[in-house]
Amino acid sequence: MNNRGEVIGEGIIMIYRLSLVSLIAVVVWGISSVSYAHYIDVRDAEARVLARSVVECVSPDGVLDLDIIPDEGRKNIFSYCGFEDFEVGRFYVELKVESSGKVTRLSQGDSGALWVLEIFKNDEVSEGLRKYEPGYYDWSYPVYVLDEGNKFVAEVKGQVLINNEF
Amino acid sequence: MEFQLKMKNKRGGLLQQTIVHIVLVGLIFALFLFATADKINSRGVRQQVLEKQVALLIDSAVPGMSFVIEKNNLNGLVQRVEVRDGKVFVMVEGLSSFKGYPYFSKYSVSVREEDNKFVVSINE
Repeated sequence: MNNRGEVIGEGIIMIYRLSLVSLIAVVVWGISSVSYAHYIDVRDAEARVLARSVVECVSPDGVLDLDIIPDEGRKNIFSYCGFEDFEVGRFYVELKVESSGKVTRLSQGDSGALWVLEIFKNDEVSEGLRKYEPGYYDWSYPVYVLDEGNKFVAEVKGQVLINNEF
Repeated sequence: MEFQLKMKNKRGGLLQQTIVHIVLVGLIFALFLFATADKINSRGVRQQVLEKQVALLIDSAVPGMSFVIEKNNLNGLVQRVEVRDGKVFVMVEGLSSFKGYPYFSKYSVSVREEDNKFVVSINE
C-alpha cells in the first residue's frame, strides 16, 4: 500500500515539475518570438498607389466631370471606380473639390479612422505600437471641373488612409 | 543483508526516476529549440517581404502586364504563389502562408507556374 502511495506521489511531483519546465520553455519561446518578429509596413506606399488609381478614375486627362458621377457614386467612390467592397474595407478616401467657396466631396470608408492617425502623431507612442499606425497620403492638384454644364478650374485636395491588415 | 538490499532497491529506483526526468525534460527542450529555430531563421520575414512586394506590384499594375517571381529567389526557395479572395499567399522554404496580404485591383489577376518561376498576369 505504501509502495503504491509512493509511486502515485512521485508521479504527481513529476507531472508538476514537467509542467513547470514546459511553462518556462513556452514563456522563453514567446519572448523570443516577439524579439525576432519584424513587421514590414508598406501601407504608405499602398496609399500612394490607391491615390493614383482614384485620381485616374475620377479625373482622366485632368478633367473631373461631376455631372456623370451620381450621388451614390460620390459617397462610394471606390465602388464607382470598380473596386470590390471587400478589397477596400480597410481604406478611407476623400476628395474635396473646392472652387469659389463651393466644396464637393467624393469619399468612401470610415472617416473616423482619421482620429487614429492623430494619436500616432504623438512622439511618445512606443515603437511596438507603430505597426498599428495607419498608412496615409495626402495631396492636392488643380483640375478642370465640369459641373451643371459649367467648366472651371478647381483645386482637388485628396487624402487616403489605410488601416492595418490585422 | 536485508538492509543492504533495501538500500540497493532505493538507489536503483532513484536512478530510474532521475533518468526518466532527464529524458522528459530533454524532449521538452528539444521541442522548444526546434520552435525557436523556426523563428530565428527569419522565414516569416522573407515570406512577408515577398507577399507585400507582389501585392504592391498587383496594386500598381494595369491590364496586359505580367511579372515573374523566380523560384530560386533572393528571399529563399519559393514553392507556391497563389492569389485568392483578394489576397496574395506565398509559400517560402516550406513555410505555408495562412494570412496572406491583401491587394486591390479592378482587374483580373491570375498566377501560373512554369518550370523555374511563377508568372503573375493582370488582365481586363
